[in-house]
Amino acid sequence: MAAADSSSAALRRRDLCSRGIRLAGKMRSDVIDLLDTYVERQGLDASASVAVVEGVPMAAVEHWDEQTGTQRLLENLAAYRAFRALLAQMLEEQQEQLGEADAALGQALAAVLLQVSAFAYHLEELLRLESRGPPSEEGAGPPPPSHLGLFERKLWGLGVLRELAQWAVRSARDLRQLTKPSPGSSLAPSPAESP
Amino acid sequence: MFDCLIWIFVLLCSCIADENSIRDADIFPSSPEIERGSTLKLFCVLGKRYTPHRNASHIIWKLNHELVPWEDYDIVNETVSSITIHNFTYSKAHVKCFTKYLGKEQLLVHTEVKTGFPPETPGNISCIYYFDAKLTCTWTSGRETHLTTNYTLYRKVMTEGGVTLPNTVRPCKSKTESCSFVYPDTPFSSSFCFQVKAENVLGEASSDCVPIPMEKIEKFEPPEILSVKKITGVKQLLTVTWKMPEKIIPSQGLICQVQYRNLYSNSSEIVPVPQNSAEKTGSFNLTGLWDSTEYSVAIQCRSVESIFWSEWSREKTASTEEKAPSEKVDLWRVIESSRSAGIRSVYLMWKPLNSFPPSGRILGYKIQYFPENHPALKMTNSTTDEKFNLRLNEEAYNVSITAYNSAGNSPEAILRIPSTGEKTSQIIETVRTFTTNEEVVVEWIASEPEVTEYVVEWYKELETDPFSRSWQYVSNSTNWKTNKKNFEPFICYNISVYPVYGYKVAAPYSVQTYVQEKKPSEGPVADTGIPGKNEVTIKWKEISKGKRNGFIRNYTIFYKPEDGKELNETVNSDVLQYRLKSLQANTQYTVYIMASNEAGGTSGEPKTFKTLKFNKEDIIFIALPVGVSMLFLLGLWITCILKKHAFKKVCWPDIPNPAESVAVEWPFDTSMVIIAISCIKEGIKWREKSFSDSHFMTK
Repeated sequence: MAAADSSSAALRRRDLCSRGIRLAGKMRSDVIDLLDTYVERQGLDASASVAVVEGVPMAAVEHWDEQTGTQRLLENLAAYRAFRALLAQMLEEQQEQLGEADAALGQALAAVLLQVSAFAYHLEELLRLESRGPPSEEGAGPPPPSHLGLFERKLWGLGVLRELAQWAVRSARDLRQLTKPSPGSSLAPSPAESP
Repeated sequence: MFDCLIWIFVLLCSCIADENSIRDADIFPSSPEIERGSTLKLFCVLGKRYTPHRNASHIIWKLNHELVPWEDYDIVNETVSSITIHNFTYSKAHVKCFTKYLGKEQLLVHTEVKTGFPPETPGNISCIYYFDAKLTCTWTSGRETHLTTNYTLYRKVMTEGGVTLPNTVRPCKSKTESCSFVYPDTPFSSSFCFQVKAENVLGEASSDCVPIPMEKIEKFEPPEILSVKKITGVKQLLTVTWKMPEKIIPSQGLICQVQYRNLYSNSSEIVPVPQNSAEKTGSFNLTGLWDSTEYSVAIQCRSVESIFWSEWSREKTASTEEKAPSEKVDLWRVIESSRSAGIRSVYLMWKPLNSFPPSGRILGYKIQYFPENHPALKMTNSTTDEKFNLRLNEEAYNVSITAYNSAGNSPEAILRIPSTGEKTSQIIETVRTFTTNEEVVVEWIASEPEVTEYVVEWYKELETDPFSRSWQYVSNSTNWKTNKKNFEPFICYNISVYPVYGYKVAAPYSVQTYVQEKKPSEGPVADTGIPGKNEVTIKWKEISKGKRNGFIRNYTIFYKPEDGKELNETVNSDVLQYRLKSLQANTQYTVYIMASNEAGGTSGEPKTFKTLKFNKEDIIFIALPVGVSMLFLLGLWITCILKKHAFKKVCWPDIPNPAESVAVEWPFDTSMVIIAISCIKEGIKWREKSFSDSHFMTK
């Protein structure tokens, strides 16, 4: 019985991971398109470099290969919850500034926000499958730095979207890693692999 | 100047004055929409301009030009009248409010009333996600509301805590049973559910939020076929390459299938092909195809999760490699006898290969022929037709036909042409043909069972072109069937069965047949000739072959005297004249001839003739005696004229009258006796002469 349950859970995890990989791939594609729209609408230079973006979770991580499956999922979930709040703020500011005059950017932001929300829910499902359960949400997340001027806020928004695109790539890798069989616990650290 | 300003001011004030003091009346609710079968209540408010002369009791109501019954009226107050109509079922109606004063009706105000139903709960929600283009959902609205109904499509996120509608997400509004979210408002998620709310003035209804993972409803653009081509040296194969559409989720599990259609047979097949989602292009080898055949190829793909295939790509066409024809043609000949200087025409005809699958496009045919006894005199011709006319002398020849395409030649088909006058054995003893409902059947009996191949040849009897003949090889059988449609009805066909052994053709057995007969198109023309007194010989000619429409079985001669009964006689078809006997003399007759086949008979033009009063014998028996008698009388008359004195003397001799005689002594004188004897002798001579003269005259 336990074996059957375990096998069923393994299949479900594999299915969720596969779908998650696909969702991450699509999300990355949409975020890239959103970046193009954002840069154009905000009058920015696409190659503008943005320093470390305050309040934005970073996709790059040291010792990625040493992480357990659960750690990966938790980090992903925390990141997307943060991005959900960040994108909501960006959307609110965009609507305040441009309103209906730029419906395309607003729609694109709203669509990505919805995708991020849905992806966060997908990660929560995966965590529930591990009997781990997702942690409760910690509120709306850090607000954007208020000392920034209008232009800096635009750059900050650019940084948010770029980092989100990076997270989409990392999420696909994390989920791919989860689908690989590993000895012992289904989420025990796998042999060292570079992402 | 000041007066003008005052006037302008007054006019402005009157324009801004209370609306009720200007309007005649008001009706409310205006343009109401109510539930069908419910109660309609309307109010008509009389404008102040009519008071005090008129009041609410002067108000009358009309519904679609019909007066509303008084019992439905209600006077609310001095200026307001209302009507209440129960169970209002008009789908649309006009209601008008009038005043009636001193017998005059005046229209005050009117409105249109619509009835309908509140919306039913929308159902059967389904969506298609046209990848990165739009997300279109459709639903059924249920009963027709007959009122303007708005639909709102919500896209909600399903979470552990329930279904949420992010406030950042706008719904899709529509007045029909479908709505689309357009890119970029097409976020991709497995966690969406879709809900439709229907709303009109009478109410609203919302469906459940139907979970539809977007990966299940993805529909991509079709791939593009880059090329379809054969590989040199590889038979029955085409290799297909294609390019995936740009808009496709990377690392997406994909399924693709290729459809290839055989343009010769118009049959098609679909085969799954592998596609790596990470690859932008793909390729596949189609095998087991027909040689030398054109195929049209298309491809479609879908996500492994989705229920929707992309549309088929545009087709590309290519041909498989050619193979040399594998079978020989079916070859036949018609030999015409020598016409001049020992040269005869031999008409060769052949049929395209029956090989299945076909060997592709035949480029032409090579004809070779040589006298049987002089193979070195081989001659060659070529043609793209399926027939050829050879002019040969009277020797025996061997003729062969080879079909060729770009890959090579077919095996030879050979036939021997016998020399003129050569006798071949009669192997076929009898041939029988008959027709069923759908078929014509030819059966034959052969005296040599070793012969297993025959050719059945058939053509219209009146056909002069040898190339128009139809023919077919029959193997291992002594009967042959073909669809009746291969034969025209009412036409005589020659059918021949030829035994064939090796490349030699033996003597045929020929029959004629009609697959269907109808009565002849015309009847024979009677030739009455010279009628007799009681007989006449009627002659006629055969009907022309083209008009017989069947085998003539017999002729029937109909003849009828004037005011008499019609009689008839029937004769076999090989008889072309008949003697009618026992006819009435000197009588007008009408005669016509009917030619009959199995389907019926057709009569020719009637002819009339009259029998004679006397025949030849009568004339002889009457004329001869009369003639003889007349001749005799004539001779007698002539004799009488010529010898009338002799006749007179003989017939009416002078006899002396004894009364006038004188007695004298008879002289006994010798001289007197001599003189008397001389007179007596003279008298006897004269009497003899008279008698002979009269006898001569009589002759």
